[in-house]
Order: sequence, then structure tokens, then C-alpha cells
Amino acid sequence: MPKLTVDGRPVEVEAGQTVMNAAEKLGIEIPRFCYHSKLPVAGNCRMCLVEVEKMPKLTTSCTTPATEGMVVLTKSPKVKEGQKAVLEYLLINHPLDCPVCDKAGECDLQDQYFAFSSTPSRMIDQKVHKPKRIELGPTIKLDQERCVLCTRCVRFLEVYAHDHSLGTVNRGDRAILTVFPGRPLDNIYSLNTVDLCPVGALTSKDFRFKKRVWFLKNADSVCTFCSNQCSTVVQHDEGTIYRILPRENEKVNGPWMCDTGRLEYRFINAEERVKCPMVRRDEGQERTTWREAMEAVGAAFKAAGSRAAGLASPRMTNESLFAFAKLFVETLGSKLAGFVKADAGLVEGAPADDFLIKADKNPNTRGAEEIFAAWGVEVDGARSVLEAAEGGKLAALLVMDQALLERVPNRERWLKALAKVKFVAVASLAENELTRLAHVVLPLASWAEEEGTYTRFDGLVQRSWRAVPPRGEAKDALGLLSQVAVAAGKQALPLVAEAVFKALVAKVRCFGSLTYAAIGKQGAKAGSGAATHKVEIVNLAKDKGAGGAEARTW
Amino acid sequence: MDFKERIYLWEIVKGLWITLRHLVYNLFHQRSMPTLHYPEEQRPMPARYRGRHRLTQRDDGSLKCTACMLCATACPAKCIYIEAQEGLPEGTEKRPQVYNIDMLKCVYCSLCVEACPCDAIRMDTGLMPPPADSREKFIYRIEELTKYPAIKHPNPPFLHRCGKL
Repeated sequence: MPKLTVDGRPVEVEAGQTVMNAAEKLGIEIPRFCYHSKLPVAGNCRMCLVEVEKMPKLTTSCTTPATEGMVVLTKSPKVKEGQKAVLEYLLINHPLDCPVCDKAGECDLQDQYFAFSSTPSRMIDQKVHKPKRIELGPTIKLDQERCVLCTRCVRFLEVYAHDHSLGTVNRGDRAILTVFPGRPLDNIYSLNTVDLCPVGALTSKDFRFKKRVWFLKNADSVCTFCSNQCSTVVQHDEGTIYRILPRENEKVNGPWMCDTGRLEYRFINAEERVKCPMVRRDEGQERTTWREAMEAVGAAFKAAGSRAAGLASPRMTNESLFAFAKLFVETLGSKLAGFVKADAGLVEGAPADDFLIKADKNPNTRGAEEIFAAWGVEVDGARSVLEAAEGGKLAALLVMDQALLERVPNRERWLKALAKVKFVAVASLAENELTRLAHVVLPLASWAEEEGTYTRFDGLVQRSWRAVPPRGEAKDALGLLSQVAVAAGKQALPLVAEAVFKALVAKVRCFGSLTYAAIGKQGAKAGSGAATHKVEIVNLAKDKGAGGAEARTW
Repeated sequence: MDFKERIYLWEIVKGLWITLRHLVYNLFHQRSMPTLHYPEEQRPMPARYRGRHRLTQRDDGSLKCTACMLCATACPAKCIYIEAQEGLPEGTEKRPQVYNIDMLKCVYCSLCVEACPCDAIRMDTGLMPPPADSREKFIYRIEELTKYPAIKHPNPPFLHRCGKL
């Protein structure tokens, strides 16, 4: 355990740690471009220069191991001069097209120039010009002029994505970042390189020129595209989501995220969303008001009594699932509720890997199972709903799962059964086959438009904040369920997510004694005192073969 | 209030008398009336009046604007709306697809002109926005913003200030 002093303050670090780590431990910030705490060290940008006593020259703190008795200076005049020189050197051939560069505003080079240099360029010769707007692959464009050759992107792809397609070639001011000819960068984790890029060399085609970053507002959220539940930041402006970035969370995703999850926001902004309630009349579905739609729903559910049923979705928040179970079991007195798990269905989206992407594409399967079990709903609830529907025993059905027909194994059987139900209400974001056969379609808010918690497959409960208001007349799941209760002549359900969560914790023992404050931004597990609900971790890849065939009859 | 005041009749007559007096006076003194028949008649503007915005163009007619949105950022009235698109292969990397200025919101502060790094927006047409009968018509698109040429000032204030005149 070497002891050293950094800027006159003593610090002790573990053997093998670098001077940069020691400074970080003291909270001293050292500027850097190529160094990243999650990547192997390269030491090629030279920005992290520090002065070490008895060393003849400045040294890079990211590559120098901390040793016993070292005396490190990070802010001495010599270091400052060195940092200035490095920045001047990096900026010699940098095109300075900040006004059209998407990185401007969140650019490390820009920020560090203002923090450590702020001197005008002395360059009088023509800059070296390199190709701009190079298509690296389906997601990324490269500007070789802007690149400072830090190789963060190269190292990320090699270490985490096991992809060796990016590399630097040539030397000196002719050095460029490039891919092999004819081999595009089409990795599913490719957009992480855009986050890593300290300058605007790599830009996301999806976000390119859509918005200047200083207009964006952040909302902490959770990715709902697979059960890995990466922590995310939803960046939005004036009710429109522009991009999703990973939020650092050691328990879940580190600072990374897959491309599929990043591009998931597009359906939220889509124009094709269901924006107002619709009622089926003689000639197709007609737009209507909430009041009229709820009158129809209320009449059907009042008449149905205990012959009402509901299908939730494992994409819903814990709070909505709790309210859903409460509505059917307690308020309406029907035990016919459930949700369709992914393990019975088909593989959708990217296949699972050993990094971030999980096979189960539903974020909250575990939460749904725990909550439904606590309410006494049988595990195979969806199957019972199907059988009741087939027998003509259902008078009213509320479907909160817009992807139901895509997820069920035996689609034809479901279609036939749903046609037999007297009244089907579907809460959905988009119009699809399911909404077309509904008697009433209710516009539902997306995950970014509501607040709530999700339970990860390993039991970690994560919180997601509301980013944008619901589109059109859409209502969040809690509001919608409460309206159904009121329309059916019962007491309204609570609307505030935190209040629902308190009730949930009191009822569902798997949640222990969690509170919103305890969950915070990084998520929390229920703790040792809580009951554990055994959840089978779904492995679709295994199920794809012949073994899954007979499971898919329903 | 007494009876005369309570029936209002006398007060109405008093009011109408004032109106009538002004009408008759103005009929015979039309020259001294302060109002103008805008937009047919317009008051002469001071020499330093800059007028509404103009998007400048290159020699080939393409917009100088690169859609960097610094004008929209600088705008205190938030009246500039830009949508960017990928530039043409031979031109700049980024160019505007939509460039709208809501003239009803604009306060003519010319901070957009100051913010522009490409000299792509100027306030040098010397024009006022003409009246229109809907809010929609006050949103000036690229066509309106490139329609009118710059005016030549007899005494260009900017050149004066920097000593070139």
C-alpha cells in the first residue's frame, strides 16, 4: 500500500494504482482525453501530465504507478505550461467547426481549452484537411479532421464488444481512425463510442443535427427494452425526446448501454400514437372523449361483475401492476388477471449476450410475478383468461398489453378467443391488430411519460422519473386504472406513484421495507429481511429449439 | 347620484359631444392629425433603423446559414425555430431545412445578428413586417427571409463606428 502526497495532501492507495487514481481519491481533477476509468490505459493524449519530484520531465498520471513516497504536483506552473502546450498541439489540426459540430456544448476539448488554455492559436499554416462525413456503419458518422486519436472507441470495442473493426492507421498528422474497407461498424454497442468520443469525431446518425445539446433537459430513467434495465438519462426538450444516454450505475450497466435501448424512444415521439380514446361503432372505430369512452367501459364492467378479466404487461411499472391487481382482485372481485410472460412467446429484438442484452425483453417480469403472487393471482393467469374467453365466460376484458398478440405463442387461438369476449378495452400507445378488434381503445402513456419503479431480474428495484408529458390525451397507467374503477362504480385508486409504492411495500413482502428515498437514483434491493419470490430466469435462446414447441400451444 | 346622473342620458350626450367636436375639428384640420394610414403611408425611419431580418446568400444562391442555432440560443424572445439537415456534398456539413422567425415574438434586439458566426443573418432590409390577418402569416420562412435585398444606408452606422467611413 504505497503512501504518496498529491498537491501536498497525503494519500494511500492500493498497489498497482496509478497517480491519476490517487488524485481522484483526493478529489483532485486531472484533465484527460484518452483515459477512461473503464477502459485499458493508453496514455496517448498527454493531457494528464503531472510533475513528480525527482523525475526530470512531466509524466502522464494515467500510466505512472503510484509508488511509496512520491511527491506529485498537479497544478504547478510547469504542469500548467505542459497542459497548455498539449492543448495547443491537439488544436493545431482540429478544424474548429464547433458551430456545426454536434458535440459542441459537451465537448471535452472545448471545455478543457477554456479551463486550461484559453490562448489564441499561433498556427499560421494551412491545417491538414481530412475527410469529413464518413459513414462508419448504420449508426455512426466519422469526421476524421476532428478526431484527436485518443483511441477510446477502439479500446471500447475491443474490450467490451469484442469487435476489432475500428483502428488507427498511418502516422503523424496523417494518422486517421478508420474501419477496414467494406467492413462497416455495425456492432450493437457502437453508439457507446459516440459517448466516449471526447470530441465530435464520432456522431450518432440518429441524433445528428437534431438538437443542440444545451437545449436538452435530463430526466433519470430506466431502459425498458430488456430485463437488464440499464439506468438511463432521457434527454428531452419541449415534450419531445431527442436521445437516451446511459447513466452510470455500477450495479447494472456501468456507463454503457446497447444501441437498441438508445433508439427505443422513437415510438414515443411517433405521430402514429393513439392520442384520444376510440369507441367501436357500426362502421369501425371512432374518436371520442374520455368521458364517453369511460361510460362504455363502466357499463361493461358493471354488467360483467366478477366475469371481468384483465391482462397486464410485464412492461408496466411496479406501481401500475399493483394498481392493476388491486383493481381486479379487490375492487372488481375477479381473480381472472394475469400477464403473458416472454418465455412463452417468441424472441423479439436482439439476441442475448454476456454483456448487457438479456433474452427477456420485458423489464419487469420479476416485479409482475412478485406483485401478482402477493395478490393471489395464479402464475398462469393469462392462460386462465384465455380459457375463460374461449368458453364465452368473459363479459369484459381490459388489456394493458399492447404487444399481447406479438407475444402470445398461439396467436390464432387468442384472436378467436378475444372475438368471443363481449367487451374488450385495450389501453395502448399505438394502433395495431389488437386495438382494431377492441370495443374501446384508451390512449396510454409510455414509460417516459410516467413515474414508477421496475424490478430487475436480480431483484434490484430501480426508479424511473417522468421525462415528458403524455402525448395527446393519453393517461398514465395509474390514472387510467383509477378511471376504470370509478367508471365501474367503485372507489378511485391512488394516483401518486409514491403513495402506491408505499401501499405496495406494505402488501408485497418481496419488497421488504423499501422507500423511494432508499431506492434513489442507483436502485436498491429489498434487503435480507424480505421474502424472496422464486423467479425462473427466462432463457429464450435455450427455448428456441424443439423443447419450446409444446409450450406454445396457448 | 342625483336623477340626472342616474339615467346616464346626460352623460351619454356629453360623451357624444366630445366625439362630435373632435370629428368636426379633424375634418377641417386633416394635416395635423397624428395617425397614419399604415401600411399605405409610412413614417420615414431614422437613418440607423435596420429593419427586419434577411438571410444572406452565397454567390450561388445557397444560404450562408449552417443551422448552428446560435441565433436561436441568443434570442431572448425565443422566436427563431430552426430544423437542421445534412448539407450538400459540395457545401457545408449542415444546413437549415426550416428557418422560421415569428415576427410577432421578435423584439428586434438583433442579438441573433451579433451571435451569428457566419454573417448569415442580418437586419438590413429597412422593412417593417407588413400587417397580416393571421398569426401564421407572421411566421417568416426562408422564402420571406431571402426575398428582399439589403438597403444601402446613406450613413452606415456600423462602418462609422469602426472608423471605416
